Amino acid sequence: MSFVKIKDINKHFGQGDSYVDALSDINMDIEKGQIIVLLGPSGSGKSTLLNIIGGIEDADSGYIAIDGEKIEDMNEKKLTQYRRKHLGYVFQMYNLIPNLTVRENIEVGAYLGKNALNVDELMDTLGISGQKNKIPSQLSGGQQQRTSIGRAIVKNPDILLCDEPTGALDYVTSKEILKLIEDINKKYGSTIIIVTHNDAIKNMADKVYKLRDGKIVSEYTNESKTPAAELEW
Amino acid sequence: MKNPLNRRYTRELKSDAGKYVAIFLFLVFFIGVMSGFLVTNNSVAKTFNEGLSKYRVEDGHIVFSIAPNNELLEKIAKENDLSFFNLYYKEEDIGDENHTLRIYKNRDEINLISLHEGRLAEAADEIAIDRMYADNNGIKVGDKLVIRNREYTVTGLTSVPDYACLYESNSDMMFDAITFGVAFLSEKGYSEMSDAHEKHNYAWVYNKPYADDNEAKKKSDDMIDSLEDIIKEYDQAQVQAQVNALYDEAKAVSEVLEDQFDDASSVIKNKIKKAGTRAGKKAISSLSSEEILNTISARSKKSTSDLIQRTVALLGLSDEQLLQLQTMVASGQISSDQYLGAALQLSGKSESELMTLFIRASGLSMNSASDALIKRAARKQGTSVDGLIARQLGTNTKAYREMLDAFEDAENLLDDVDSESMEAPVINFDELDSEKDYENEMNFNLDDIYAILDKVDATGIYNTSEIRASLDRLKAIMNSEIDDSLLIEVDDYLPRYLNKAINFVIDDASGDEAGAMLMLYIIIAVIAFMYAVTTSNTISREAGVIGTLRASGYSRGELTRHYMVLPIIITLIGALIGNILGYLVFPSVFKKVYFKNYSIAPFELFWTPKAFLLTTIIPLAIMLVVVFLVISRKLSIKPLNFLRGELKRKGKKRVIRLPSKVPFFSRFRTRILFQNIPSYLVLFVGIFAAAIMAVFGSMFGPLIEDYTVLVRQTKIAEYQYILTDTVETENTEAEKYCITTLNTTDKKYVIDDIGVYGINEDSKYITKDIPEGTVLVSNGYFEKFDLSIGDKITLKEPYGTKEYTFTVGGEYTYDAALSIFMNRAEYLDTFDEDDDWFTGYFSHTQLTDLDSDDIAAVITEADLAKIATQLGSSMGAMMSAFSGLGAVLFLLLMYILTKQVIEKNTKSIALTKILGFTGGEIGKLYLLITSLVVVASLFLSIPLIDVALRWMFKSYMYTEMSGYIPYIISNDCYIRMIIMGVVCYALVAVGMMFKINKIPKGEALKNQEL
Repeated sequence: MSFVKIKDINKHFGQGDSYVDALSDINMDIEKGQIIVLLGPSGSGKSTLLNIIGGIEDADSGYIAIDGEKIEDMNEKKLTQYRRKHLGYVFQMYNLIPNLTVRENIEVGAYLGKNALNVDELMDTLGISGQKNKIPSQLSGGQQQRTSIGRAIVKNPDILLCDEPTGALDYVTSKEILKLIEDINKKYGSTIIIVTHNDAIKNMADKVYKLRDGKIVSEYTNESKTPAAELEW
Repeated sequence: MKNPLNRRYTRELKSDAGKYVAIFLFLVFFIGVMSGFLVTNNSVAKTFNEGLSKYRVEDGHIVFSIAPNNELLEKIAKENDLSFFNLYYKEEDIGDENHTLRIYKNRDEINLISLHEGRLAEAADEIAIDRMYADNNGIKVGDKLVIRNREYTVTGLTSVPDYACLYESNSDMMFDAITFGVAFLSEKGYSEMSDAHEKHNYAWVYNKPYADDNEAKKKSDDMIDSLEDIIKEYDQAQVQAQVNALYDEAKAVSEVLEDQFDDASSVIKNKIKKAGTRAGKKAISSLSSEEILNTISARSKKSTSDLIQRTVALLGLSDEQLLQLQTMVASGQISSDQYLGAALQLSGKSESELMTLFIRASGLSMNSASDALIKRAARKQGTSVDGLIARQLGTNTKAYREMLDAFEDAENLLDDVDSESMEAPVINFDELDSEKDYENEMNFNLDDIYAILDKVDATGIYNTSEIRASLDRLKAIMNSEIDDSLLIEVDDYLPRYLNKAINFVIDDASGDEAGAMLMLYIIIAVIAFMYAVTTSNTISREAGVIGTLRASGYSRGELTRHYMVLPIIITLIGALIGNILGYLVFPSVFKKVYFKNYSIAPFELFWTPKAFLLTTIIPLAIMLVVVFLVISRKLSIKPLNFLRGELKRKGKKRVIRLPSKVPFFSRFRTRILFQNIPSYLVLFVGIFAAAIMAVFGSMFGPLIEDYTVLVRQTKIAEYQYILTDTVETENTEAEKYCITTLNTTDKKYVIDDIGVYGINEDSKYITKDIPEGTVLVSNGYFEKFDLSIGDKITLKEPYGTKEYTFTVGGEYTYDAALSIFMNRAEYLDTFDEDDDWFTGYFSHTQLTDLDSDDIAAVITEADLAKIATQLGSSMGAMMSAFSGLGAVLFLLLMYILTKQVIEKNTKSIALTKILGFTGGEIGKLYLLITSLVVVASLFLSIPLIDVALRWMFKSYMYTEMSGYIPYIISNDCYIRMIIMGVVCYALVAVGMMFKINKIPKGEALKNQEL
């Protein structure tokens, strides 16, 4: 049985004339430790799908099970616990807490995990040890995103959800961040789901799902992944 | 691991130090003041309760009109199971400003004296006076006071528990420690002072203490009932004794009078008899024999010849003589007329004996014959028999006859004053229409007896002076009045539970406590909402972070707690420090306030958990609830919505379309208004709370002035005299009226004295018509007791149980006192007074012809406005504190909420700067709307303040305080409040302009709030 099972997920927005099918009959099977890329243009439904996996948005029908545990039946309290236990989130906007230092922002994530990683080691891995006492406004976008990834990964989640993690970053920094994600996958064995519209990123994934208009238009497993550092766009 | 979010707190405090320091200081100060106030209050209450036994405080006192005898006191004491203590006092005016000192002897049994300075009076010319009165009048130990022309040296400053609050009378609305005080003389000093103004006051203590006010009331009601009976019995006995004495005296005089009349009667009868005899003899002697013969013949109905024959037969002539007589007749020697004369001659008897012979011959009684003869003689003399007697008595016929007639009635009249049947009536007040009626029982008609004496005097035959003297005495007895001064009345009766001079400190403290706590909680709630609004804006600003944290697994509870911690910690620490200050620092301030207002014994401060609960736990709870409700509601939005910045709970953000014709700046400002509605709502509520404090703090000064003017405008007359007796005046301006005082019975309100006026029907002074069977009610009474026309009001005797019910027929504008006005006739009927009864005069001019002894009081403007003066003197300091607090609250709210609006728009402000707007223009955009909200809130507060303060007057001042002061808020108070608000806002706005100018343009370029 796959680690993450997504079964017949449907989701719509609006009513009447503004009715839109955001997701239609989505089915996925994700194995533990895989890097998954959900690729698609704006409005294809990839972020909605990520949010449903993250338990911050409900599906109209279908279910998602993580390690056999279905999240469709969960009340808010259980969903919070689910997110706390299994998920790390990285967004395009870093959403760091402005009056906490880098280290503290990461600790905010560490606080949630029972088996949290060593913060200092992680900062080394993230390459932000030198900035650990700075507050977000003193950091570059890349450093902020590294911190944000640190905050997400520090609690050692089963799944890291990354919503356009490089959307606000330049090419070089984007690649650095993607490499970091790749390193984390290798080092901690985290299952990582990346939502992106950047076609190049698909090459670093174990498995790619292409979405358009709320449907999976293609899915394939990368037989030969390209290391993130070698990605070009 | 500690929650790393906790580290934000100190940073948050630092970054928004202005806001937190302002709120913190406000809380520390405000809670400190409130806690200090409570600690002091509770300490005063504790000292008061302990003082009840320590200072042996009375359970009540009673003032009798005269000194009661021991028997009466013992009876009252026995029936009510209590002990009396003599607390006589003398009330003396001192100084030129109508100051009154109530002077007692030093006390050692009850209501014990606390010395604040110096010592008690020992020598006769030493005096110890109340500390507060002394303070208010700058009197110090060693100073001299002149009372009744004697100089006294002040030896000490004191306080006594029965004047903890210097109420001269329990019906005064406010106490008065400026013109009224109490003082203590040595035993000798007291006895040497004139008794002219002495009051016979007795304090009592129940032998079994009561548990609470309900029991105190029951005991007091029972005592009133028993007092009424005992005093009635006592007074009845007094009247009975006097009536008995009068009757005894009258009886003795009557006995003398009867004897005198008997004597007079026999003397007069004798005189008449003698005069009659003498007059008869004299009259008969004037008749000729022929006249006598004819008269007797006529009365006896016998012919003269027959009579002559019978008379001759009675002469006892011998046969020879008879023969001789017949021969003389036959020979013609004598005519028939001379027959009797010849016979008389032959018999040798005198002519004077002839009349007796005639009478015998006629067969008439001597009296009948005499009567006929006297009448004949009187006729001959042209008079009557009475005329003859009168003449004989030396008087005239008319006077003599009138005297005779009068004497016929005399007997009946004397039966009235018959000493045998003269019995004193049994006096029973219940059976008398009025207590004066016992005098009518002896109302004999002595005038008729005087008339008889006049008639006797007119004849001059008897000297009536002795009888007159007795009659005069009897009349004097009859007219003598029962000596009212011997009757005992209750002039004042006051159980402790109603005594404001004792209880006001505690009542005021608890009333103030409730008010202060209400204010504290309202302000805490305002601050809580302010926190809630600012925190809720922080939440909006941090929406992305919150969304991420929620998505990462932070629970709503964790975040709610996180955002609640600062307000709660600030409040908790503020409250704790406030409490410490409240115990250590502020009580000294409140102690001063207490000592400035009340004449209380020195007291220690006690910390009580109650103060902590009320000023720390409850405010904290209010803060917790308000902040929790607002924040948890705000955080109930889904994580995704936070991430998307969709913070409206329902639906998407709606953009209100504003017509493009509206100028850009106006549209811009309108958007700011919409954006900040919660802040502005809190600002409005806060401004209202601050404004109400500011207005409340400043309303009493002008109110007192306005009230004084009203009193002057609505007074009934320039002079209102209250008399001790019904004396007449020559002054044509003067108009009689009646007044008495009754008490209200409405349990919702404290007991009020109501002046009940009886007004002449055609009064020049109260010109409003009083509908028959109803009363006019003064506007104060109308307003305070919420009356309507047609309502029934029930009033009762102040020291009795009798109740009177009146129908409200209308309202009469008279601001000086709570009064009702009824027609005098109805008044007299209601209170069972005589038709000519009155108690005083209204007059526009001074009544110079009244004796000062007859005047009990003259009420002038100064007296009427007394309450205003008292209110002014006692509320001044406290009120300025309110205004000050209002100003601080204005500043705090305006600062925090205006700052909040600016901060919320920091990015936009930076952007407008980049676009080229000047600082002034930006100020106009972001501050003008806040300015408008502030000004609108200030103005909008006015009607709300009016409603709130009117409610406070009705629900607190009118129900908890006796007397009346109208609800008037001078426009000046509102103007001052608005100026205060605007000035506070102006200061804040200047500060905010600096803040706007300091916002760097770079803020606009940040892609998120950092």
